[in-house]
Amino acid sequence: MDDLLGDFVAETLESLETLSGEVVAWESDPSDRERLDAFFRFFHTVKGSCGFLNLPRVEKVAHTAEDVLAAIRTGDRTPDPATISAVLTAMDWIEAMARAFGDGEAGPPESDDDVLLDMLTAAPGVVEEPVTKTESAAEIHKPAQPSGPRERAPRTVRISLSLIDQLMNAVSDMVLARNELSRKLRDHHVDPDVEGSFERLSACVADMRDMVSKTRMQRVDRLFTALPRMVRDLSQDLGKKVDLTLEGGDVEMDREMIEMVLDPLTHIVRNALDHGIEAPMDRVAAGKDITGSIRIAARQSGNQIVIEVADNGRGIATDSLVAKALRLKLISEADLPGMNHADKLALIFHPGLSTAEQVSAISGRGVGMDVVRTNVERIGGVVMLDSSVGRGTTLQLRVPMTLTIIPGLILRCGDEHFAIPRGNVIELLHENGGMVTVENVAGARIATIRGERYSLIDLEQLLGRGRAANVGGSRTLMLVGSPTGLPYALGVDAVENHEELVIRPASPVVMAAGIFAGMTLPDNGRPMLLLDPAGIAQAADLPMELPRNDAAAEKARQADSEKRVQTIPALQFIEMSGQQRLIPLDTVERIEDIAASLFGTTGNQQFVRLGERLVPVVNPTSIDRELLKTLHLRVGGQEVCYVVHDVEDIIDMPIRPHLRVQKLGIAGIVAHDGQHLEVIDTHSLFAGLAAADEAAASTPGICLIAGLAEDPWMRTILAPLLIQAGYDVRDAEASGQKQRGPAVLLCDAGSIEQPSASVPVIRLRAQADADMREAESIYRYDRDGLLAAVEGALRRQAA
Amino acid sequence: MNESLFLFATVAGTDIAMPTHELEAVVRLGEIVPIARTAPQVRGLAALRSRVLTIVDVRTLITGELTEIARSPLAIVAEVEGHTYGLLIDNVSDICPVDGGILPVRGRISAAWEPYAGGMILYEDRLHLAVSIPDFLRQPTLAAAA
Repeated sequence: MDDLLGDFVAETLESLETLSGEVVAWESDPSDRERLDAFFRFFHTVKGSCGFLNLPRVEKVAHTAEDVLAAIRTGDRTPDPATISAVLTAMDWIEAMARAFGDGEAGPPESDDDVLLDMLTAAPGVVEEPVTKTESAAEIHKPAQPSGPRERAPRTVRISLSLIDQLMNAVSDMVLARNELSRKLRDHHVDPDVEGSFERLSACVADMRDMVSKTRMQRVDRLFTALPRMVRDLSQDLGKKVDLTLEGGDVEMDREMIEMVLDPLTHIVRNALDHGIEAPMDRVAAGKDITGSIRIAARQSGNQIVIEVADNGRGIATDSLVAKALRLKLISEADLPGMNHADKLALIFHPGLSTAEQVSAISGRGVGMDVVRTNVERIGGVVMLDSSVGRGTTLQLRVPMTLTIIPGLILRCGDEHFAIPRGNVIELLHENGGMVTVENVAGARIATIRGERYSLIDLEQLLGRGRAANVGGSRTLMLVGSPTGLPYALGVDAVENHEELVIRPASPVVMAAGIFAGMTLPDNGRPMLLLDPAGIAQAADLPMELPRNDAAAEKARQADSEKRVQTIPALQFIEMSGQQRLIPLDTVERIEDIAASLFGTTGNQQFVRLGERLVPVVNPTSIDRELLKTLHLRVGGQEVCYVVHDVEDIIDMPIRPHLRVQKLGIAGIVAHDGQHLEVIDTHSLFAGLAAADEAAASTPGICLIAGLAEDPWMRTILAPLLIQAGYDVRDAEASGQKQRGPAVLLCDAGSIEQPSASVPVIRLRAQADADMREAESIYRYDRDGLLAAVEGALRRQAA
Repeated sequence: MNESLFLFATVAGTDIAMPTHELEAVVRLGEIVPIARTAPQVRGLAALRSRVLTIVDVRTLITGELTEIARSPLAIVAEVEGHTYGLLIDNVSDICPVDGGILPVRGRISAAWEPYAGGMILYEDRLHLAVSIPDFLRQPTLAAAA
């Protein structure tokens, strides 16, 4: 009995601890069904246990509270503040009682019980049946079961890690056994009754697998525990004053991940203290608060954990970084004009570069930032850095939540199968598709995809397997982005599947191959290796970074990017009517031949069935052949199809059309190679569809655009779009600093505009996929994302 | 000396013995999935229930030749530094306690076996070479072999 009571106390206190985090959230939104259910389950469990343990006082309160919550669930009662605070009081009371049982004390006096019960039952507008009252009154006078003096009940059980790992393995075994059984059941055509039971078992196994993976999760708090002490000791040694703020300690991540992040994080905090925060006198001289601040915040973002370390110290002096890099011949003078603020900051990750004028004992000689980056990238994360001189530095670590389960693509190469992290795959293309050309130049394989050239690596060649004679159609090219360096194309026989994979570390002898990141055992029971995109690039001797030392290449790149400012790539196609037209390539997701049977029409709306989705066709077309060439256009979250006769070419189209026209759906006319081509107005294409959701009125405000006068894209595309959306557009340079009302500044991703308190900055980048340094920016053709960001920034200011 | 249990096996015609606390089991393997770009003795991966073993061919370490992989090859399962390996061997004869323990090496051991020789063990009136499993899996030897 004592054991049972102890378990009850531990369990109750533990659930209360979990729920305590939810209380405030529930209070602010009492209609939140999920939280309501959690509270209901809590009282229900407590009631059940108390009935069993013969604790009538607690049972009574739990029962009444459960009734109240049940009434809220069914909608018979509204969760008004009085009811909620009564429920919360009941929770507190149960906690007090549970603690009293644990300590062997009497707990709150019985006389409180009636008050509490009255509070719970006496809801405005609801008349309680008197029967319940009498019953409760009768019961409440039964003496509580006396419990003898005992040790304070433990709230958790400590389990050795090896036991958890064994548990994990056992569950994996179980999953495999289930799969085998499932195959056998299918083969033997057993009767549905058996299948039903098997399904139930199967569901239990799946639940169990999920639960066991959760046992590996730990609160980020563990990462934080050592930091306050370290910061305190270090700041004393350095004679600096620092405030440390820790946020998001309740975010959970995989135990192994926490261990991997610990060192890089410690290093970053040391750096921030040593190099970032100035000595008190310097701070005063700079007009800052004498106490510096370091803020460390963790949050979950999708299946990533973001850990941000921000200090308000002196920031990173890019000039001295550059000077040092020049001295060490890491870069050349010729590189300088091509480097923007982010490029210069990124120099700090170069091995052997330290900005501190004096080498200190704390963070040494800048050994570290490169190690930090390497360590974080090894576990599939990225480090992002932003800094402004005098204001401080912000470092972001983005790491996957768990090492063990990642979404992966399964690819075939010969008769071998491999997995590759889905996050690294930018795009899948067919080798003989219209947008890809593969060339062999002096042994190098180059894939040109929509005008961009990529190194092509054939996986067979890398594996030394020798490519089998091209059996069974075309190969697949995967456009792979590695955390460092340039994306490349990886040629494989086929991409077969995508799966959530449980990844385990591979043994050192396997890792020695340099191209694997781990191994996994898929459901078919045949071990499979996980490819390491960065390792493959390295093994294939691909250039990992832009050739910075190569001045000619840098110039070519610059010239190229200058050219790109003036023109954008566009797809030249032939309409069904035979007319030649252009569409900006960025909006075209892919080109596909779609069977006529997949097209349908309702009213005036034509649509295409793609898998489970229906995608509207923006140019309704009469279907007169079996296969229709279709452009898939996607901007933001919207997707539409555009049926064409054929695709001609990809050309560089001037951003400003040679002739502007006022015709529905046409943005202008461009002369190219002795032809004149109409340019599709993609904004109106999507705007027509999105009219409904766009109807929501936007917050009035001012959009300042940096470089409005010089940058044609800003002037001819961005400005009209914002004006159309109802914003007041002004040139950032021309208008003074003083703005009335909310304002937002839009600038190029590479621009060095710094956000100020009054005007937030939205950075726009030219590439659809963000590279590491530009991750905080928005793709310039992401219309929805752009407008949402403007709207959000203005609304926050207005609030 | 303490009496301890040893596993007796044969690799490339040599009788070897290893302490049983170093290994988990002797199993017959299923399919071995080969791995590219690894040292020659790394024969591939094999699944043992839900565990994945890295299969290392001991014969390749010694003679440079590959063991011919039979339908279900025999392997010693051992966990070393958190990773599970399967060591391909030709034959397993017995598991037995040995009274005398490990005897010092007499005579000259061939260069191939040298790095792995930890002594001699007398069992059933025959001498066996005492080896230690982690020695077969150490990185330097692998790098040298590769």
